[in-house]
Amino acid sequence: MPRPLVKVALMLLGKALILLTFYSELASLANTVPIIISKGLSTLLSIAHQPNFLALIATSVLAFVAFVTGNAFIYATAVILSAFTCPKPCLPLAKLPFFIAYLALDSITTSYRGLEQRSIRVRFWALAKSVPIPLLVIILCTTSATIVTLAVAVLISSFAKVPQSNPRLYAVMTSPITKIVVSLAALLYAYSVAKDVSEITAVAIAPAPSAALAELLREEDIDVVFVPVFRWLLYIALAAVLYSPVYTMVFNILLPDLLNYLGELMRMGVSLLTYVLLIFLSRSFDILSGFYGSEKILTATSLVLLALAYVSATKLAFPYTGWRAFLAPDFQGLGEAIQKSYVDFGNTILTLINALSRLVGAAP
Amino acid sequence: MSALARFRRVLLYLLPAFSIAVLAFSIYLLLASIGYMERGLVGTSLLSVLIGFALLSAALYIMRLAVYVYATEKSS
Repeated sequence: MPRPLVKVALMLLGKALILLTFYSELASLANTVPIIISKGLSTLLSIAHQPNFLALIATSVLAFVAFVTGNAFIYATAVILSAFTCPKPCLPLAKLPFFIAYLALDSITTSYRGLEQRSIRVRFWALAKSVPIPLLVIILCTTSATIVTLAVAVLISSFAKVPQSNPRLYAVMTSPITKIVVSLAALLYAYSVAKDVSEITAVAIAPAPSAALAELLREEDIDVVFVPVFRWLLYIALAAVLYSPVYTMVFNILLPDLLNYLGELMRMGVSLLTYVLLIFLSRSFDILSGFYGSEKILTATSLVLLALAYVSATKLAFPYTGWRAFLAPDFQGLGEAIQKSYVDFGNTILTLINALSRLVGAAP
Repeated sequence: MSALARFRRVLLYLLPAFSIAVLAFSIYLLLASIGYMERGLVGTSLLSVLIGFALLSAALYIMRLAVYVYATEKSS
């Protein structure tokens, strides 16, 4: 069966909407692409002196992809990114109505079936009643998310009131990095709160008994084990504790020549990979995660760490005592090496925090 | 039989009441954490904001359960 003409027309209308939304960005993309092709990338880098130029390029590329594929998600990303194309971050008010119109059009296009039309009769009262229910859901979930965000915003603004007698704590608390991390966590949390509130409101307004019973009977969704919020922060801290011993044992004692062969960038990549791996592994050290059936990972990780410690201590003692080192490993020397690497790691982290806060202008 | 029915009706209101109590306590803890931060007690403030968010999640979960129970009861 050929595609109905109406559907093709709807798709063309959607593409026209995308063109209308991003005509200036697409025009700038059409201007910059010949420059890139003719003069190379270095010219582009030299004219990218404005801070919002990169955002403009990313927006126009995303808009082009959205125009070709008609993907609503890419369109949304382009609309959000276009907030950063002006000198100061601004709300893309002119683009939002087009985006909402495109979303409506998209849902019509995907659900529309030609040749299967049937008209239904809706009472005016039922039609009028169908408007406030979704509106109430949206208002309630937006309000709760806003309240959570406001509470965290007040908390962040009172960060500046921590005692200034402790300058290091003051610098950490007032640095933009802390604020960005806390705001991001608050954003994620506000999203989950809004999701829960919208679900509660929708079910309370329009209860569907069979769906509710099916939801209550689904065990893995109802029998949740208590999971404290912001647990990944704990994993990052735990990984920082585990990182120094593992790095010392593997790269300083067992494979000392490996890192010398690698370049600076490769060495950094290896350290970063180790750290990210440890963040995932430290989940198994979490007491609460035992409920999820990760005892095997916990056992394996502990045994591997113990074996690593034994092998590296044996290697430390081997040059002095020969084969007797297997019975008398040099745990003393291993402990000293790990202690030294802890001090080095702490110094590096403190230097990094200082440099970062200087870079973003939080400390003189 | 009527005593059982009354007990069931009480049970219906138990979950929302419990959830609202937990919600109120979490809101109190969130406000208290702002107060602690204003007074410069950083650790206390962060701990109390963590407990407050965890209790808020718990309150939302209990409320969700209560709403599903309400929707199931509505049919019978």
